[in-house]
Amino acid sequence: MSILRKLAFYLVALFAALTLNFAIPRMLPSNPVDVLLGKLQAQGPVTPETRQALMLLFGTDTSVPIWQQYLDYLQSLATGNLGVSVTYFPTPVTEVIASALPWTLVLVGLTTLITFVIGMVIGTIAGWKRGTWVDSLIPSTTILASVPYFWLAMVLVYLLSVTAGIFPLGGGYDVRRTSPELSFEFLSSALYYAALPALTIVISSIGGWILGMRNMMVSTLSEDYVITARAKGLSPKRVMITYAARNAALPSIAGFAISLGFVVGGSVVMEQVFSYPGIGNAFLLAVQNNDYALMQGLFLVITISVLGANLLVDLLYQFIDPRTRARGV
Amino acid sequence: MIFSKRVARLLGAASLTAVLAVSACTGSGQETGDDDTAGEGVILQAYGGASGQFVENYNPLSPTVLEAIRGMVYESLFYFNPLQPLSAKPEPLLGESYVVNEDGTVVDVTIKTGVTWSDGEPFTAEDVAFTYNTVRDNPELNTTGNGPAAEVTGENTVRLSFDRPAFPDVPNVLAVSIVPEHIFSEMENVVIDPNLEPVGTGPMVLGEFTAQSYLLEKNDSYRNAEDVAVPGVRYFSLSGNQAATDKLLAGELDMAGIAIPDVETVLAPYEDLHILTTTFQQVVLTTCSDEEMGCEGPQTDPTVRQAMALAIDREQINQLAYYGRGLEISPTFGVVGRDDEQISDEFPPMSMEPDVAGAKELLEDAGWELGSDGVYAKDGERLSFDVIVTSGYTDYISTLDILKQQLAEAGIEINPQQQANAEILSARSQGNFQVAIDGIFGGPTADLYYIYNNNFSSAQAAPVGENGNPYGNVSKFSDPTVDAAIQAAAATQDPAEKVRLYGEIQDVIVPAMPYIPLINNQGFGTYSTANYTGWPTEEDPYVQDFSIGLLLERLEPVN
Amino acid sequence: MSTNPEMSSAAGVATPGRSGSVAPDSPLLSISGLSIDYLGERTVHAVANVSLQLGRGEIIGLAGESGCGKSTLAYGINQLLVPPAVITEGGVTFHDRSGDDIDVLALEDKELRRYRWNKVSMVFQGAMNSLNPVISVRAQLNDVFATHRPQMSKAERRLRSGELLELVGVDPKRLDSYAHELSGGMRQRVMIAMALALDPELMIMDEPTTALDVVVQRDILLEITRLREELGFAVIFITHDLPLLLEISDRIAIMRHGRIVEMASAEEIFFAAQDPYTRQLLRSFPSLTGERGDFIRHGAQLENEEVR
Repeated sequence: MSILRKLAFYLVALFAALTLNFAIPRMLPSNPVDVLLGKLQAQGPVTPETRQALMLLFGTDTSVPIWQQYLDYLQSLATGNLGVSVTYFPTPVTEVIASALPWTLVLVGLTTLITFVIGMVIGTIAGWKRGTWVDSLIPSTTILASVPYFWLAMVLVYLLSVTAGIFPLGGGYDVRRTSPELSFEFLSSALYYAALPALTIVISSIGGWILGMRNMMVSTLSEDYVITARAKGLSPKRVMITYAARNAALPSIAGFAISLGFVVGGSVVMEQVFSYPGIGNAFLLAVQNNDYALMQGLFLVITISVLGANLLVDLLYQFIDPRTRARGV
Repeated sequence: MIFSKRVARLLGAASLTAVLAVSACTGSGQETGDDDTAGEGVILQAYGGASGQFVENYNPLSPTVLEAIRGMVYESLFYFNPLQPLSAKPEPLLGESYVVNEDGTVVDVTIKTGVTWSDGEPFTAEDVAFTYNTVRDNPELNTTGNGPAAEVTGENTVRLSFDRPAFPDVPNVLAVSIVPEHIFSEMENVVIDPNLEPVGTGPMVLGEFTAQSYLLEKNDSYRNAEDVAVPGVRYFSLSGNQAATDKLLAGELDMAGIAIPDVETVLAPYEDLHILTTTFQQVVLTTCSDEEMGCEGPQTDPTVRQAMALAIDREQINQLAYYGRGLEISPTFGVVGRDDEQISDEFPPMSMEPDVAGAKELLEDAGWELGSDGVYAKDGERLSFDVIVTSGYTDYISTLDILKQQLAEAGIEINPQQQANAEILSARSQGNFQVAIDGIFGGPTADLYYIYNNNFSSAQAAPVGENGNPYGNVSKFSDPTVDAAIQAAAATQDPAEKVRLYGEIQDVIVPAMPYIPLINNQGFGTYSTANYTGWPTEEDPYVQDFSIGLLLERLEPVN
Repeated sequence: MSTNPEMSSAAGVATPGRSGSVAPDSPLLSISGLSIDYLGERTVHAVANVSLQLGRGEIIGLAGESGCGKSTLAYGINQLLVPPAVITEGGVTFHDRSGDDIDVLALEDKELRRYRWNKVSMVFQGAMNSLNPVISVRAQLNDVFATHRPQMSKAERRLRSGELLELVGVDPKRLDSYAHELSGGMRQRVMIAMALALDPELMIMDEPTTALDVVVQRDILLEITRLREELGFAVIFITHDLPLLLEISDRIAIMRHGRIVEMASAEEIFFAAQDPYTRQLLRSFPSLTGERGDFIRHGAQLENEEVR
């Protein structure tokens, strides 16, 4: 019953998001054709005929009534057809997304996971050993977290790439030596190129996890069940993990799932700084070119990932926190 | 590939990395290796302004085809070079010659014989007819709106029949890339097919592709293959102008279209690097000029526009915003020098010096009075308006900053408003602006018809509030004499008659001045003589576009 | 409410006479001169020079207002204090069943953990919060056995866990429940069961019934007294509720500002409190029995009538 209700809620949310997804790009000024024509303009005057031909080509004929466009949109979604990207014309949006998504998912997804795990471990220890040297490291990580991300990233690029030459300046892999394939060469190149972006993400976001976890640990440690556990003579490890950390981690896990949802959408700045060939890059190009179809496709992916992450939290919470477990199911 | 400053700026726009990604792709040096044949040159390294990832699209009929696929892999019948004067003949490519009938509705083309496609199939008149009929049958590809029907009339002749007189459309129509019928007729949807295995007639064939670069290799079956010493051309996508400039200065690019501010100073220390003027961007203030079309504000008064034109210190703008590279601009929008035959003797180029007193006199004669705030006013309306400009277009923005001060001296107030590209496009399309700073570009040939038809014809103007062509007659200027002369010019190929008609147009548009001329900014391409000589020059601009196959026949390797 | 004055006197009879300062015959725990400070900008002497002897099987009540140091004292007995609280001086000796004397404050790490719960178990104030909310009752009991009785088999543990719950009057099916699925009284019973798991010699109860309503409170108290009689462990019962102590304690220590101001048998405290603070404390509570004593607050009579 409650699971049905939950699923119904997610369906309604998805539908609302899809509708917004249809509406928002159309509220942007101008259209993809005019943006593209700006590039063609220098080759000669742009005639109304050219404009009309391109509007037909890109399927952005605004003379079709809006409700018809909406119905067409829903129908194409249902058939998995997200249309053709104007930016990467004539590549289908699904292909653009499929080629960009793995980069973002792997780099940002893995990095978010690693950041979370490390942050939680450090936060747990810092909270457990409140007042010791571990704990005194916390302020430095929060300072890093408060530095604007792009500034931090550019400084690191300057120091580690431009000056020291340890890391490449940007890109997803060494385009001269390898191409995307399942080979050691490509994978090691991709890993090497991902190292610095990953480092910047870890540095800039780990502080929040550490601080959150540390503070929750401190307040959890004064809970009666933790004192009871200590009085029970349990080993410190057992007390720290099963009694303190498991309870203290609950809010952070919710936050983590939410941030997983934003993995897909939240990497625009990073991908710009590092010319990384992921979703964020595609998103920026889509907006610059008024590429409705690509924007909608990307919004869709982001929407689904956010909703999916929320659903995951909901389900996960039932495992990690018995209090939220629905009775009688 | 067109090496205009604007194009490069658009394509490479908004990369945060520009500052730091100093040498994103440098470091691996020049490509040498197996591709090099003894006695031949090295692979040409080219950059045309692409940023982001390349997407495979080798369909020359598609507007988003990869650069140089048209021109180097696929060829058109003829090449029309806008750098040549109006009287120059087009260069025959797959065509041999063409004749246009009296009323401009039929073009008879004779094609070259003995040409083969790169897969060995012979090139025939059927391929030409197929190409034109495909364009005509697919409205998405019919960018002139006047695509001809084609029929094969002989072994080497094709007749193109237009629905309406097509003199001005001929250069565009004959510049369509010809595609092989035996491949394109198999396509399910020719409009969106990316043509992954391109088969053309040009001097190059596709080598390899990655999302960051692709290589074109010499087509040994090209009809003039013995003249082509270039073994291949590699095109790069770079992170932006800064990365491209660094690569160029490091000697890693043989040809490039990069917007480099103060280019002459930057390139001065490099004796191998040269520039060629390829486009003319006539920088203007576009006014929403016609009250009847719904425009509002003091700029609808021609006297105000004339006064502004007088008060501008063009030399100062040229020095501060265009590093002294700008040329004199004609109020007729013909390029001074190249288009002198089309410019009425009555209209000399705009003065580079300001005439503030003259401007004030003009305004005062028209009843404007200088207010206590130093700005003219008439009937309670201050001589003040907004000028919109796309944010990030630095030359325009600094031009406006200078103009603001210059015009203030003549009692005219302008308020520059930076907006995002899409917003500007929307404002221009709808007419929701008073004044915009803008460029007027020429057509496929030096014929002034294209500028007049595009920017001054009332057919190209939509009333304020309606969704018009943001690249058409944005000033909403309309005049029956001008409309009639434009129509008449479209129906003749007699140069003398054209010049007469253009004189009529100029007599109207120069006094009305819906576009206030500022400066003629030269767009340029950059090339290096380190590996090859024989590039087009000011004296012999044999191609305007570095992606035209003709270029490769003329390049000679150094050594 | 079934509780009666008889029970109170029955408990009180155990140590007749003014025996507050007299050491019991068979001591279980000796606290001598214990002082605990909270370090800080202004150091607080939470416990100051407290000496106490607890007899085997004895119930000592520790009473005083909030912040008087009674909980700190209890935590000190088990070395549960965390910084900034530190034991500055004194000693705690546990006289084990086996005859060994354990210097509690000298215990470290493993030995300390072995001592905890095995010898001294605790039941805390927050009936609501003493159970870990994210793991089941069974898992929490298992933790105790796994730590202290590693040799026990799974089956033995299950059996013992069930027995323990039955002992405190909770259905063994509840073993798989989580804290939030139990009522307040049940949780405290579970906690008591857990405290009994290792058959300890001393159970420290820190306000074990405060958060419970009066009826449940009464049941729990009965349960505790019953179990103590059955199993014979000693109890240190901490509360601010003096009348409650009077009913169940053998002896009562009144604490104020970290010191024990008076220590005597329940009767002596009830009938002949010496210290003015003790008398003040007695006055400030309504009587549970509602009949006797000068500490009955105005109107308390009426309230008690209503409770019945």
